[in-house]
Amino acid sequence: MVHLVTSDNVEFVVDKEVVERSVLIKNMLEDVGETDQSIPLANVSSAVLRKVIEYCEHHRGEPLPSADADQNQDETRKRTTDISEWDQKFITVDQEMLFEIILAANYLDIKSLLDVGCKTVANMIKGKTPDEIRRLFNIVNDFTPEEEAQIKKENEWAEDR
Amino acid sequence: MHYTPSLDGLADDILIQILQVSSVREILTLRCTSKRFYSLSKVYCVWYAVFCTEVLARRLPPPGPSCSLSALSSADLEYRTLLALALERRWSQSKANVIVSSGEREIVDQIVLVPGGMQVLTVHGNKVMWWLISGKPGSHELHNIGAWSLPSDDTCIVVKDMERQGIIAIGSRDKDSPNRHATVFSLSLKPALNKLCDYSLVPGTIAGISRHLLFLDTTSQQDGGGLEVLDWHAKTEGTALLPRIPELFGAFLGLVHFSDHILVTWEACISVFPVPNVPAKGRTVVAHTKIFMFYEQISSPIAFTACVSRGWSDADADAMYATSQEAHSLTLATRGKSGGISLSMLILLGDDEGGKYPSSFPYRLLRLSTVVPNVIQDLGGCMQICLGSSGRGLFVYDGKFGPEFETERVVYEIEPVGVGGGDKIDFDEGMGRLVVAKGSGGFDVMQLL
Repeated sequence: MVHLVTSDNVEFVVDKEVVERSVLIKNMLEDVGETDQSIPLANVSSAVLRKVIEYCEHHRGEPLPSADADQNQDETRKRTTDISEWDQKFITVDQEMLFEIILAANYLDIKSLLDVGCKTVANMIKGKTPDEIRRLFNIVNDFTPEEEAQIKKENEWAEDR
Repeated sequence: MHYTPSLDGLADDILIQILQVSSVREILTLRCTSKRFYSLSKVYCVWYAVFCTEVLARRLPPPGPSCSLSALSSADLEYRTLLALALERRWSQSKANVIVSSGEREIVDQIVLVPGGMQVLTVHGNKVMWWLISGKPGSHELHNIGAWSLPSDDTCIVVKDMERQGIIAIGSRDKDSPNRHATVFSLSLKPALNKLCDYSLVPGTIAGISRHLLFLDTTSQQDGGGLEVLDWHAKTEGTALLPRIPELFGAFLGLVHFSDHILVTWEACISVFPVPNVPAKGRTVVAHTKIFMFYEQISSPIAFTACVSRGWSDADADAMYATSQEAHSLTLATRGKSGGISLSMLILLGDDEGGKYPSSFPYRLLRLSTVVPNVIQDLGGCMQICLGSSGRGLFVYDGKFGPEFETERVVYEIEPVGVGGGDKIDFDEGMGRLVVAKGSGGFDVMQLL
């Protein structure tokens, strides 16, 4: 069992096999060896870690993606719609939690979870106009009207005519 | 204070990962939202990922000259991705628009669009001119970047290697000419038209080039001839003869390198030969592996397609050509008796059918229906067929119309061309580009979209 302590000082006790889906923790454990000491995760809150552990529990035992180049290429070839039903349900959370999960997955180095997060954001963008996307994600439009018109023109030829 | 995460609060590398799994439309929309997304949407690895998923993995014909992906800029990858998708979406209703015309009005005897769609070769009598199409959409330019002349006054013929982009052979078109030169060039920019191999006298007219083999049509010879093959890599004088049986085969129409064999098409049949071992000296005669007889005689023009995009790979050159080995069928489009387009297909035999045929070429010939597009009823027969490896193509009728292969729709009406044997149109499926030699001289470059 591995002891994890979150940024808000909550301790989680998790199966080694489950927590090792995080490459960060796996490497840490390999460096430290068998230990009863708890691992502090200063960047992750208890609410987020609970979700992350839920994800790792569900995917327990699945092969970890290897780091070699071919794998990466296959990874990029997956389409946005390929999110499994369970993952889809799991990631149906509010925006704040979604970005927290993405940040945690990135920090803990859980490639498959980061992927699910990125695909979910990509799916949220689908079919929306630039204005709708700005409203959805609170993005500030820092273009001048001239710049905006120019970009629209650049994009024009790719659109259906 | 608790920090509230947002999309804009994510680090660049995470946003790039989001862009990598987004589709083209989403990337272009995000680009419009803010300056940060504008610059992230132009990052190389985003378009690398999208080009791999949307173009290469889906086997769309990749636009532009084949090259290593790492040699392309982000903007170039983006342009090629968008063009490939636009052509896929609009192919069946695409229109041909002239993007640039040659300034000179010299009569073009033959026109060749070099695979990749950026370079054009034109034949004017014994002279070959080499042109580069440059510029951006909306402002294309033509530059003459090289020329070469036959040592004799004969009219040239140019053949291109469909697999090795940028390898061409030039020779004399006239079958009865005593001055039968053959020269192989690589279309490198420096030096322009790099001469790789030069034969001062060859036994026939150039019929094709594929990898190290140069094919010469010797069917006008008294003994019936056939296709005589030279090894231009070795630069040796020895030849291998792919023989013709005159009374059985009829005239030579075309050849194709398919499934590790050389397929020679005649009016009456296809004869299949192993890839010959060309001797350094003297001549060997190659025995055919198989002959497929046509149901009815066919005539020129002829074109072939495996209906598999040749594609590219980021890896070494060999991997780029691997796809042609995977092809399970080869479609032949030719002019049938009625003037329509007669289609036939070589199909890989199933395991249970394999036994009674030679296993080195386990295919059977299937006759497909003849296509007679409505538009040709008042016109003559098919004059030229251009087919890309993916199956995209164009037919030219009576020098007047260019109906598309899939849709039988006229895309462009060309000026009546003068007499002469050369091809007056050429086509590149990846770029969706056409070049047309005009009857009054000069030529047009057209973009299908």
